[in-house]
Amino acid sequence: MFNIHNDNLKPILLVGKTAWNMEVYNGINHLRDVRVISVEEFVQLEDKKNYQYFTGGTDTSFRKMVVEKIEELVENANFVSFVSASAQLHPEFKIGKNSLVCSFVASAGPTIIGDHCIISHFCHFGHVKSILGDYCFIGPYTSIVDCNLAKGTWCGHNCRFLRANTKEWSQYYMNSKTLNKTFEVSGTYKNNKLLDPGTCLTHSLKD
Amino acid sequence: MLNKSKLSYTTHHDNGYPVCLVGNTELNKEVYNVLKNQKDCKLMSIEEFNLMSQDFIDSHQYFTASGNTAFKLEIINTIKSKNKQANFISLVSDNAVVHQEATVGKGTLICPTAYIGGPSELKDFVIIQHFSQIGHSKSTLNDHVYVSPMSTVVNCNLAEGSWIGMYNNFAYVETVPFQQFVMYSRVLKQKFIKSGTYKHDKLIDKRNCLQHYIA
Repeated sequence: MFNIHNDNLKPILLVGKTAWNMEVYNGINHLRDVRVISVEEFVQLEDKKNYQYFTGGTDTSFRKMVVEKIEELVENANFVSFVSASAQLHPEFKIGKNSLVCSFVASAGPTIIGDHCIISHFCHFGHVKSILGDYCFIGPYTSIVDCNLAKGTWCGHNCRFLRANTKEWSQYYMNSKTLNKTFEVSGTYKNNKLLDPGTCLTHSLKD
Repeated sequence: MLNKSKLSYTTHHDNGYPVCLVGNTELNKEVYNVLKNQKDCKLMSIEEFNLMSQDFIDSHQYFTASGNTAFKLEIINTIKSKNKQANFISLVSDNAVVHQEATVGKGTLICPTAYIGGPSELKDFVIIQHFSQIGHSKSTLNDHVYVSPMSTVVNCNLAEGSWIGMYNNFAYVETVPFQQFVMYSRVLKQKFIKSGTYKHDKLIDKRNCLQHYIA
């Protein structure tokens, strides 16, 4: 079950037939008027202003495209955020719009999450404050302590980040470990090593 | 109590009889230490069970859990050989998050902090360990599937006796009976046709989880 934030009580459209949207749908369809529709169906929709919106997906470029499409076609579109009732969050934890915090996420410090972010199941924000910019994706079982993750940072399964500062749209393979590191260049990383200049906008690791 | 949290299980397929946990396995000990506060239950070895009277055997329902699938099957077969109508209770931790349309068969265990995010179907004698997730949408886990801690299963059809090691990440996968995967395996969009022991999608040993226990 999710707590809904930034909610204007209008029906909710989950745009994009992604696994994440299906999971959110399964978690709230017994509580709220909600539908999952494809991007193509959204574009054809006539009464777009009668809804509020959410989109989740592992592929950052797809998620960004959906958000931009909604903002283009709906003036002052409202985006809701979802926080699982089983997440354990510091009282000063903050979340932007169109973001998702999944089950069993734990935040011991006053973490700040930007807009359009996904924090997957069993993630952990330890000890002190971390800041995540817009469009960050954090894979399951990842631990983040005292970090500043730039816009669009993408972290795979079971990563460990301690005092790391990332560059926009950089992405990290699963099981990456990064300690006391300020990255100067965006791209695809395994631990601290740049493997590919492609970013999560050009080269999705989700597959 | 050290804090306000409390471990407990919701029981399914419960006929109200006392519960006999057969096999001195670590998982059975864990279940017993919680369930004893909720129901009349006993924990005993398979050797002790073999010495029990028919009257005792007929007046209990049963549960057994083990990461060793061959041993668990041996226990189940022993119980069924002595009581053809034996009932196996299922236990879903109240500290797990389980989608309201998910289903469980008999003899199944869902541990604390497991997460089932969609209307998945868990059949008989399935074990979902701590911090595992059956995520996003529907997966089907057939009889005797075992999912180790910290593993992710998304939109999969896991055949009878599939054994998933720790920190595995599975999405859109179909397995074959008693196939097993070592820890840290990552498998995406695969339909397997041959059983055995795998690292990722690579066969590393012809023996399956009934022939070779890798935990």
